[in-house]
Amino acid sequence: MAAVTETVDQVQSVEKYKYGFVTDIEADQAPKGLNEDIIRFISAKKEEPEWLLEWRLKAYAHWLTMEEPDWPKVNYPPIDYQDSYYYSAPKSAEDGPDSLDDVDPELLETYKKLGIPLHEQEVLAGVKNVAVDAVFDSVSVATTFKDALAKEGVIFCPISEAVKDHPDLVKQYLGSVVPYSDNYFATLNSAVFTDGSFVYIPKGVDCPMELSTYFRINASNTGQFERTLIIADEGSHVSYLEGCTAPMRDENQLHAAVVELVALDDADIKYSTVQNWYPGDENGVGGIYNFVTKRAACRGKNSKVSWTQVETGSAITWKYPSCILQGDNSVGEFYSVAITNNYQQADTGTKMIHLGKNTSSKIIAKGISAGKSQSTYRGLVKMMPKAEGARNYTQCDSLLIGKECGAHTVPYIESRNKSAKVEHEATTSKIADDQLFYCRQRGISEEDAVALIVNGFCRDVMQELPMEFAVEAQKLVGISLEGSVG
Amino acid sequence: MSNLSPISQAFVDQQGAVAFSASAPWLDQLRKAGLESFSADGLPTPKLEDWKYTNLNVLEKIDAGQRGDAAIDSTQLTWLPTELATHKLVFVNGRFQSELSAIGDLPKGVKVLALSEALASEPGLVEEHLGQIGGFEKAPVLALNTAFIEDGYVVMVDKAELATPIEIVFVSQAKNEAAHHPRNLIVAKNNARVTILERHIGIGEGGYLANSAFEVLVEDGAHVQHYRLLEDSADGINLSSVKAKLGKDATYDSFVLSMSGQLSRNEIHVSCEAGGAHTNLNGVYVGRGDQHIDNTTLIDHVVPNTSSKETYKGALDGKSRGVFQGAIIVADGADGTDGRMSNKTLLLSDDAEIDAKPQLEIYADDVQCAHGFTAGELDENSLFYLRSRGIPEAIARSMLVEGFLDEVVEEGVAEDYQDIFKTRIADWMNSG
Repeated sequence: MAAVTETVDQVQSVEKYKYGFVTDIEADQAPKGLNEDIIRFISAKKEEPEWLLEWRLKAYAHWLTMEEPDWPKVNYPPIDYQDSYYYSAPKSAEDGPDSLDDVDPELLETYKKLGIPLHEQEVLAGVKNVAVDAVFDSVSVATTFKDALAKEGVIFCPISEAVKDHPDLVKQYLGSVVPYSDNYFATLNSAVFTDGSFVYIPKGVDCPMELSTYFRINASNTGQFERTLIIADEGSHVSYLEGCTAPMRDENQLHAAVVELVALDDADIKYSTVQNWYPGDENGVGGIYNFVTKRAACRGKNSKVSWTQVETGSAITWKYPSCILQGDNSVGEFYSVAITNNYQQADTGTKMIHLGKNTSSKIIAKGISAGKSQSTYRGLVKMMPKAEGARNYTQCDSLLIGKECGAHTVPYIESRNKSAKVEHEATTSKIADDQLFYCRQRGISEEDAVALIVNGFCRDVMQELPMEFAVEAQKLVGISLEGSVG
Repeated sequence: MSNLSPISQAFVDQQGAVAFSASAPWLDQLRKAGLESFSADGLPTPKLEDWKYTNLNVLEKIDAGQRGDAAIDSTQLTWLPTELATHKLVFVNGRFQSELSAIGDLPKGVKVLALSEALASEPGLVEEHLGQIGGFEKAPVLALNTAFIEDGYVVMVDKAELATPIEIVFVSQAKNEAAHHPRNLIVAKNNARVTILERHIGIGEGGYLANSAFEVLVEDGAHVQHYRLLEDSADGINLSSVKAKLGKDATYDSFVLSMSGQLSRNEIHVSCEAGGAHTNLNGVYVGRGDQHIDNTTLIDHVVPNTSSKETYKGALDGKSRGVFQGAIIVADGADGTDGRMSNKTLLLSDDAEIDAKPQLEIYADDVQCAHGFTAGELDENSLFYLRSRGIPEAIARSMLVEGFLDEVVEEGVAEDYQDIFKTRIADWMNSG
């Protein structure tokens, strides 16, 4: 019950978006706009090899031929892609920090405010070790516990560093799950991605600690385009968490990330996201456009990928973490809580593509809409002809709080194998009056009661989160729904 | 306009070629509006979200022209037990055949006649209603039908109850390769009760396009039961659009059994526009060979306190492909809506396919909406149970498939008429 009490405390402290501060740091920015020169500039800044620059340019050329998709159930004014900075780096980190002592103290202060334990000592004092890679605007500023991880052979570093130190691995896997031509935003990302995390878990290694990346958009008018690549070699296991925040600004900022996961034979990747980008104010001004492509390839036999996401932030969320279940007996899971309030819009879900025999997938999606927000679950379950004995179970539930919000469910189900079993269930309802009455009768205020009931509604998903983050996520649920009742 | 596909253009070009038997300014205007809407984009393609799973390029072999009637052996048309066959209307290639029909005696307040007759003798009767329900937006097939309005049936019931069903037979003569566009109107008011049993059949070898549209208006406590049997011939293409509008305490029950034809698309839109309106949409689809069967439904809950219940089940064999797209939309403020939708499919062969999109779009908070979907093969345990009791495998399979499908018939069809559909399902199983 401790977590629930904390949630209640949290709500009572009447906190708005607490990560909405701006850090005053000198930034090194590329000129505004997007063209081939900017891409060459980014590539040169990162000292990238020729093949990567070519790949970026190829993506850019392809992007110019594409049209922005209009099928998601979200509305936003047209984005001017020339009115944004595509590269912004804290100046002091220009040469890359050798140790944490070299990191701008203001930056460290920022992460302290965010509650990210960059200092290893602090973490060591904690219950469990968590290695953190922090990405500030466009570049990775610090990665902790590198040495400890290196002992096990685990590579955990900014992707720009991996390009230099492990070019073969990057070249082999980059774009192998999400090709540069995949979709409008993924293609844009392929052209201009600046940083992100790279993880390689060698054969048979059980990653000794949770890996984590914190993303922070700070500079104004910048887009953040990070690219994450995680490879779990045969028989390895890893749990990875990303968290995101941004300052409060009146303009909308674009975040178009790509995450690629590769799981080989018997490997297991657990990817958790607590997405808390600035959602805009109560009138719908400002906020992040979160247009993200996340996809996992379960290439090996018995491989497993589990996506867990708690989506509370962003003005607009548009993402579908997916699994391509290629290997026989591979498993894909998707657990999602998407909370929208005020004028937020979320169009999110998953795709489970079953190719291999006896593959199975499970989708649990919980959407909560409040205020004037719109939340959509959109998902695809596809059983290909060779997916003998494949299995899918989908449950998506929506909860509506208030008269002016909307909740939508748009599942696509395509089955081309008779031995494949697909089950899908969806419900939409409001918070039951009797539950609310029960809480109120026991002296719990209406707002706290709602937070309590919503947390119960999300339980199936919340319990999939790593322990340390489950508590944080529960608090977030309370804060996100603030002002939604009464 | 110049971007239209050849077949779409061929339909547009028919406008000058068809000599309509009835003409009136309002009617010409309606046809023109339909043609203009159709001409803008032509036939739908899978690029449109609503047509993602159904491709109409099979229409290429169809002659857009409309042909006259040919002799029909009337014994082929009998399908109901004699006690039910009291009011009968037969249409061949979309045109009313008075010599094959027998409308019989009708109680006061009931009008049953062909649209061509109504247009000739009592145009005011249909002017009020025709083309009133639903626009052409996202409905190119309905627009095409409207461009060629000529014949179909009209059933109007006011404060009356019909003891026996109205029987309708639509015959398509396959050898024509031609298209026809029957337009039908059902209006029930003031606690009226009416049952319409409809059969679509194809006769002979070859293809055709039967593109029918139905406008259904149910008001003030009236109850319409609309049951349809689609038995098109192997190369026949059957498209149908139902647009229903429900008033206070009105009920519209629809049941469709789709069993043959090369491609069928059965689209039903129901709009619940006053409190107490309720609709039951049910359907069974069975496919074999390379048949394509599409059931697309949309239920719009516009005002508070309306409800809907929808169940579609299918069994797909051979290389057949089933499509189910169902949407429940609850408008802002439509509190107290209760919407339930379920779609279940048995895949009987390795090459069969089901594509489904059960959709909920909810803008009000005090609602109960749910949908469920399953796909898979016959339950091995049930099969084993029957076999262990000495039932041969083939029979055990039939029993299970029939049991699975009959459930919808029992739920969606009034008791007196269930056997008509159950027999058809059993025959389909036995002919496999």
